[in-house]
Amino acid sequence: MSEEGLRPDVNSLDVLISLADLYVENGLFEEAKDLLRTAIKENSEIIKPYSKLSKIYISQGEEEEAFLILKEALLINPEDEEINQLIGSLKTVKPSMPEEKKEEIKETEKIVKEKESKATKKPRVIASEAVKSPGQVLKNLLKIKGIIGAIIVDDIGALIDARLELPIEQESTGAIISSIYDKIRYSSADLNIGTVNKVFFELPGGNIIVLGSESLRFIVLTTKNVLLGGLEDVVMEAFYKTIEVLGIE
Amino acid sequence: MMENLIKEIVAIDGIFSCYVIDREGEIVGYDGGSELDESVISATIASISKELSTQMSIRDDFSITVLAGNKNLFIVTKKNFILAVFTDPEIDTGKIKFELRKGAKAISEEL
Repeated sequence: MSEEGLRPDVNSLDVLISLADLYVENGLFEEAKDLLRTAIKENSEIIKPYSKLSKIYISQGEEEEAFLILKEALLINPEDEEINQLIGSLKTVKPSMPEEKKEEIKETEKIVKEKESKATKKPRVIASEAVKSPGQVLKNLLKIKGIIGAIIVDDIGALIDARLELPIEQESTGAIISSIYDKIRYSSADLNIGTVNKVFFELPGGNIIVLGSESLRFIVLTTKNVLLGGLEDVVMEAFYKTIEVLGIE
Repeated sequence: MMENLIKEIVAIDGIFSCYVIDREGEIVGYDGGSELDESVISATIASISKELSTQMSIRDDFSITVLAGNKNLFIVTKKNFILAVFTDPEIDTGKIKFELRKGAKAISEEL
């Protein structure tokens, strides 16, 4: 698979924004803000989540917060009509600097942001030609924010490889998760759901994503607050790369 | 009323059927079409839920989402019941999870 698959996922962004809208409709403003902050982190070059987040702040009378968000959006596109209109609509906060000074600051902030973005960008090497072992795939996967462990086991639950950032026993954890995944997989006929592709477990202490093939179970552990949908593509990519490097299917 | 709560869940676009099951696998409420025996489905869901809570020593609430070829299955396990829905595989999973959280809260209050 190419590096293309690791670019910001616009579909995930749409889901995040739709969900945030739903939260707003139901009065869950803090939850909506959290989602939009995640959307910004994952898609920092797309203006839509910035404008949505700023609108929530404005509706709650938090204009200073809104202004900070809008200022960040201007770094992406200083000409954006909606962002400029929103800034213009702020009642209590008005940009008071001279235009030249603002441009200068924008330029400096943009350079700093680009440097930070390069340093913190998701690894785009999971599926590259240079990756030749499951261990490398897992190591790259763990560079992604929110992923705290990954375990590969075979179809009987025996450990193939693992990388964990938390103090749990990798062999038994892999075997337990694999056995639960298998139970779901073998129950699919009773449930009439067809072939099981992915299973997500959202547990009190964190989340687990499991992808399986006939001979492999690919298990990814994440922190609790991460949005699983946002990790789906990268986990899929790591799974297929693992199959490729192991040469099993 | 439980019956109405379940009907509201099944009325959501993309949801085929909804089960409220006790932790032992007995159906508390059900709505929606199914070609299979509902008691087999409820027992299977309860068994998956029990396996996870036992094997991983989980006492609190948890959720399982199964994305499969024909249907997706969402299971929300609460202290005294399990809420499960079968959906269209193309459905927006975020939206369903949100609706199920709301539904599970209402069912908890009802029970």
